[in-house]
Amino acid sequence: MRYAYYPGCVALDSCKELDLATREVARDLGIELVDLPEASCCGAGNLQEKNPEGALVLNARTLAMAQEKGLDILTVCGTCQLFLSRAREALEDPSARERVNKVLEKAGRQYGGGVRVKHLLQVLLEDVGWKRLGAHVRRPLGDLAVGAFYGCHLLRAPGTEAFENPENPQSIERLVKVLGGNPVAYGGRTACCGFHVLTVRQDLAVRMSAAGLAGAKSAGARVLATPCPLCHLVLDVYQKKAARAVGERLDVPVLHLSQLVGLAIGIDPERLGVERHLVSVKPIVQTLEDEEVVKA
Amino acid sequence: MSAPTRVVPDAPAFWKEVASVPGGEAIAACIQCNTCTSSCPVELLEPAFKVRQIVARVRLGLREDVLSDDAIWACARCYACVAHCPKQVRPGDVIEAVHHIALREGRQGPGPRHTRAFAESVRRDGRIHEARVTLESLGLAGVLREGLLPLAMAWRGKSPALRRRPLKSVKEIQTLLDAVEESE
Repeated sequence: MRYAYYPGCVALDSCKELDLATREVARDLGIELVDLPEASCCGAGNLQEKNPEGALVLNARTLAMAQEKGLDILTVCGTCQLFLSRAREALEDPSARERVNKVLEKAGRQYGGGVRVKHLLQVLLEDVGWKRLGAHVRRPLGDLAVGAFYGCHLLRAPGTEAFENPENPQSIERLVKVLGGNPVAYGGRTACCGFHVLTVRQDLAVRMSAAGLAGAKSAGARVLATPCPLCHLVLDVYQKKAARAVGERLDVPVLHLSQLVGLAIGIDPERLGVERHLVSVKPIVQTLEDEEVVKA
Repeated sequence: MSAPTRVVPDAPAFWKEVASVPGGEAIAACIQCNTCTSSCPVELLEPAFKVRQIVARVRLGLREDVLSDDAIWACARCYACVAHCPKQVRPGDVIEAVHHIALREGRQGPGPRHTRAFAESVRRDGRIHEARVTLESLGLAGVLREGLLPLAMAWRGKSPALRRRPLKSVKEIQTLLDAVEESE
């Protein structure tokens, strides 16, 4: 298992803990991550609407960088997954590839097509496999009630349908079970967090995320797990505002998928960056560690 | 209630203009079934943002009405409408094509300002400089309106870096973006 690792911009900036946790988890599970230190931003839809062809060219450049190393790409962000895989799909058309390669030539690069773009969730499911992952569990989640928060972009990415039903996804719930936890069913698990309108209409983003958080809380979730750092930013950083919007206490910690896996396979919580969240993860870590002591 | 404003079609071929931008190609296939608006999580909270009506207004040639409407920037880019449209119109992508035209002609407002700040960050740094994009999108007054939130983030080590080095290869990225612009 060897991948060109594309953390995206946010996992290297305000969500550094996601990059930390992903590297820890990958090392333990035997997934080799080869850095693409010069890869650009995926465009996140913003560059696409400002300069659609420019965004396609930059994503072709990233795909070409992975191809130069003979590797497929691993992402940890729903939005990166969507825009890289959309570009990947567009570039399977030889005429589009030829047009884009004429531009890439100016940077001495070429993209030959065929590079695959997979989110960590898919790699856990298909490459590691539930059985092998289960064998790595050292600190089972002990029936911890975990709500999945999928985020839109992973579900809408071309290629996701190969491992997941976008209308009724189950992979995070199955992952939670493998890690010994208790997946909570609630209506907001495929809701939109509102991140992409956060800067323009914060009122909307806050109310959108509030609906998901309140739904999870009332269904009994003690913690949410998300495969997207952008969802994490709204759900965690803006949670106080969300609580004010719905007029109730929320206090639902939001873990990155990598952190959830990391906790269960026994990685030191500090090395997963859980202290960087605004909604404290301490009660969850405490519960897991108490149970660990009881078992030992 | 004030009398509804009368909106006059000012550009009958506006839909063709939108169809010529990537994302807008399939606008002619729309049957106005309203599946898009019904799927939209934003519309529940912001009734001024109605995806089907934006498509309809484009096709009616209400160019100024659409491009000057701040509500078109309320799209959360969730693509529920794209997933559910029975005619593969990709309504969310149509809205992005409309955004593209608004940006191209220098329209102002919070939406265009954010998209420009984002695109500029990619050109300048090769990646997103979150702190700077936030400051440029919201302005200093907007950041100050966040009150204690930036401090709470700093306290947890959650703040984006105030200084972020551009990628070493940013010149290559600029060369590519320039090449695209020249060919257009």
